[in-house]
Amino acid sequence: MEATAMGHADSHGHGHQPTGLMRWMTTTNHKDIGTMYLWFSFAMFIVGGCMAMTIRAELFQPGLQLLEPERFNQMTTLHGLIMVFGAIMPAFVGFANWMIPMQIGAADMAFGRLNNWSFWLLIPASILLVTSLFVPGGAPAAGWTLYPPLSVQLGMGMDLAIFAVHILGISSILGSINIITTILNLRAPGMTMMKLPMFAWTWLITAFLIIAVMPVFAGAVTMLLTDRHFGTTFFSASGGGDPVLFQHVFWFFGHPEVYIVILPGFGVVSQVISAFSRKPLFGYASMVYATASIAILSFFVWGHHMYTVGMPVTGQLYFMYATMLIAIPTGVKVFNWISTMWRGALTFETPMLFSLGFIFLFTMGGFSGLVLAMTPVDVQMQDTYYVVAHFHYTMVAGALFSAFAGAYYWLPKWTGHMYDETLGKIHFWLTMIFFNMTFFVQHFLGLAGMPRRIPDYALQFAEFNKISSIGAFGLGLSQLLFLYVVIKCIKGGPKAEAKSWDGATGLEWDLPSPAPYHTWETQPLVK
Amino acid sequence: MSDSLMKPQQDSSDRSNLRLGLLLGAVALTLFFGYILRYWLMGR
Repeated sequence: MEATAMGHADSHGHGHQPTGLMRWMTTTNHKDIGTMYLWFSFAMFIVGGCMAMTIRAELFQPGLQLLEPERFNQMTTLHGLIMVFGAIMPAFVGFANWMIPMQIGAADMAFGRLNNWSFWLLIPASILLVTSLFVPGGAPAAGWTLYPPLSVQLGMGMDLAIFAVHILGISSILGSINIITTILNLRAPGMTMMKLPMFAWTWLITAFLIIAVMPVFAGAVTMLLTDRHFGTTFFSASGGGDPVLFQHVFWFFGHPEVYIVILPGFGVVSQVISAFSRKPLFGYASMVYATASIAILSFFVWGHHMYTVGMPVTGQLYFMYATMLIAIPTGVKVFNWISTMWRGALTFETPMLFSLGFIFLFTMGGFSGLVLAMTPVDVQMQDTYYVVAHFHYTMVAGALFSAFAGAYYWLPKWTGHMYDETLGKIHFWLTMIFFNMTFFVQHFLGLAGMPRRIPDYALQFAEFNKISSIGAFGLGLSQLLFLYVVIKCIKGGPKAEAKSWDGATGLEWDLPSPAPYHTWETQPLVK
Repeated sequence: MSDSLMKPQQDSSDRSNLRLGLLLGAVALTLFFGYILRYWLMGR
C-alpha cells in the first residue's frame, strides 16, 4: 500500500508545475482546487451579500426608494440563487477538497482533472447569473424557485439563469462523483467506514443526495426551457400541462437541497465541538445514522413547501407528519453535540463560538420549521417574512456559521499561522448580534402578515423593518473583518503547530502546518 | 515492493475509480433524462 501511494505520486510527474495563472487553470492538486473554491465562494458571498443589502436598503422604510418592483424581485431571485449555488455549496466543496483527502489518508482526490473542471465550470455559470442583470428584461425575477408561469414569461435573463443552473448542476454532480469515489476507494489501510471523520461521513451522504436530486432540478429547468422556446407545455395549463407540476419537481430537488447545504456543516460542527470539548464525539454511530436518516427523509417531505396549491387534506397530513419526523434525527444530533460538551474541558476559541452559535440558532430555525410544518399554521404564514426568518436561521446560522467554524478551525492547517483570536471573536460576536438583529424581528413581521418578495409595505411594519435593515448592513460589514483576519493569517502570525488545537483528532493533524503541497504520498496506517 | 508489483495495483485502483465514477454518472444522466421523458411521454 505504501508503494502504491508512492507510485501514484510519481506517475503525475510532479516537479514540472506551471506557474502564475496557468498553475491555477491547470492544477489537479486538491489543495489548490480547494483554495479556489473557498475564494470563489467568498467572492460570491460578497456579491450575494451586496444584493441582500440592496434589498434591505429598499425595505429600510415604506414606499419605493431605490428599486423598481421588477428590479427588487430580480435582486431577491439572484440573491437566493447566488447564495445557495454560488456561495454555500462551493464553500463546502472547498472544505471537502482541502480536508477529505487529508482526513482519509489519500494522496489526492480520485479524479484530479475532473476536479479542476468542476471548479472552472463555476466561473461561466456565475458570470451568466450576474450578467443577466444587464440583458433586456433584466435578471430572472421569479424567485430562486423559478416558478412558472412567471418564469416562462420572463425575458432572456431567465434563459441565462437556466443555462447557469445547468452548468452549476454539472459542476456539483462531477464534484460529488469525485467525493464519493475518493471516500469509498482511496481510504488509507485501517480507515474503516465507521472510523471516518464526521465531516467525511456527512459529505459522503451529501454527495449521494446531490447525485440524486441535481439531475431532477436540471430536468425541471430543461422542461422550463422547452416550454419557453420549443412549444412544449409541460407547465402550461393551456396545452394540457400544469404549473403545479413544476413545484412538485422543484421541491423534490429543493428540500434535499436544504440538507445538501446543511449536512457538511453538521460534519464540521461535530468535529469542532469534539476538539474544543477535548472528548470524542458522543454517539458517533448514531450521528452517522441520524445524518443518513435526515438525508433519506428529505426525499419524502417536499409537499410541505406547497401546502396551499390545493392538495388533498390527506396529502397535507402526510407531508405534515413526515416533516415532523425529521425532528427526531435532528434532535439526536443536537443532543449528541450537547452530550459531547457535557463535562468536557471546554474552551471557547472562535471555531467553538461559531459552533455554539450554530447549535443555538439552528435549533431556533428548526423549531420555526416545526411551526411551519403544521399545515393550518403554514396556510396562514406561507409567503410571509416568518418563512424568510425561518430559512435564514437554518441557512445562514446553519451553513454560514458552520462554514466560519470550519474556516477558523482549519486556517492554521492551511496557512501555517494562527489567526488573530481577538479579531476572530469580535467577528463572531458582531455576526451573532447583527444576524439576530436582522432576522429575529422578521418573525414578528411575518406573524403580523408582511408578505415576502414585495418592495413596499404598510406603515405598521416600519419599525421592525428599520431594525432589520440596520442589522443587515452591520452583518454585511462585519464580514469584511473576516476577510481581514484571513488575509492577516495568510501573510503571517504565530507559527501553527502540526496539531494546532490540543483537543483535535484526525489524520490531518498528523501533517505539518501548513500542509505540504503533496500529502500522504505514503499512505498512513490507521489503527 | 518492486516497480513491477506497484503498477498493477495502481491500475486496478484507477479502474475501480473509473467504474464507480461512470456508474454514478450514469445514475445522474438516467435521472435527468428519465424525469423529462416520464413527463413528456406519460403526461403529468
